[in-house]
Amino acid sequence: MRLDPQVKERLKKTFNDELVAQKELVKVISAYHLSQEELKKIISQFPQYATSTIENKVDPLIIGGFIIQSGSQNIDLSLRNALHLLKKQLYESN
Amino acid sequence: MENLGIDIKLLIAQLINFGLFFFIFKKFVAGPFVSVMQQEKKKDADRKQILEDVAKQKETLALQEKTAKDEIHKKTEESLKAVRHAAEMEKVLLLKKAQEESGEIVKRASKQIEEERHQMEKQYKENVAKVSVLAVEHALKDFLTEDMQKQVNTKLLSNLENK
Repeated sequence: MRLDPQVKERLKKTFNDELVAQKELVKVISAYHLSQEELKKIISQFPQYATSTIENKVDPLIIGGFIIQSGSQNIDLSLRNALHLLKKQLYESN
Repeated sequence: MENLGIDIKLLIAQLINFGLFFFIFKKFVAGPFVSVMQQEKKKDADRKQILEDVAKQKETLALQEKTAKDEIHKKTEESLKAVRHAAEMEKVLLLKKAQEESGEIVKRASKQIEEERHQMEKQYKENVAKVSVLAVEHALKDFLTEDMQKQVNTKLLSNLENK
């Protein structure tokens, strides 16, 4: 199927804009609502997100700690993940 | 001679008579009689010889029969011994084979048991780990207050700063 070059170009631009917007938006998922100060402290540890828009999302299922999501990147520092890793280690120690 | 009462003529005639008698007797009576006697004697000797030969042959035959019987007995014993030996060897081989097979079966069974035991142990450990982690997860969800969660975050950030 051949696409009209103009339509193709517009689609490309739209996807790129979407990707840039996704990259610029950084979600910090925590078990409770984080204060601005706490968010700043967290982001200060990750200079690559210094210019990004930060959004806090609450998910009690992570138990504690936080998860940083940016696009396809995921930095998981939650207690749920820690427990998951512990479980994995226990399995592997068999 | 006449004084002695011997008549010479008569004496000569008697001598001639005796000579004739001797000659005729020897020629026609004594000769055939002796010949018959010798033939009978020879026949007796032949019969005796034949009897002796027969006896000897009997003895030889008996000896040969005994030897043959002994030989047959010996051969039979040897054959039986060989058969017994072969049977014994076969028995030993069968026993050895059976022992090897049973050993192999035991080995396989032991290996299988060991594998199953290992698998069960692994499963048990996995379950224990799963239940333990689940219990900790539930406990943390139930008892972790916001302050505690803040402390966790602070600790995490301090760890990140130290890195």
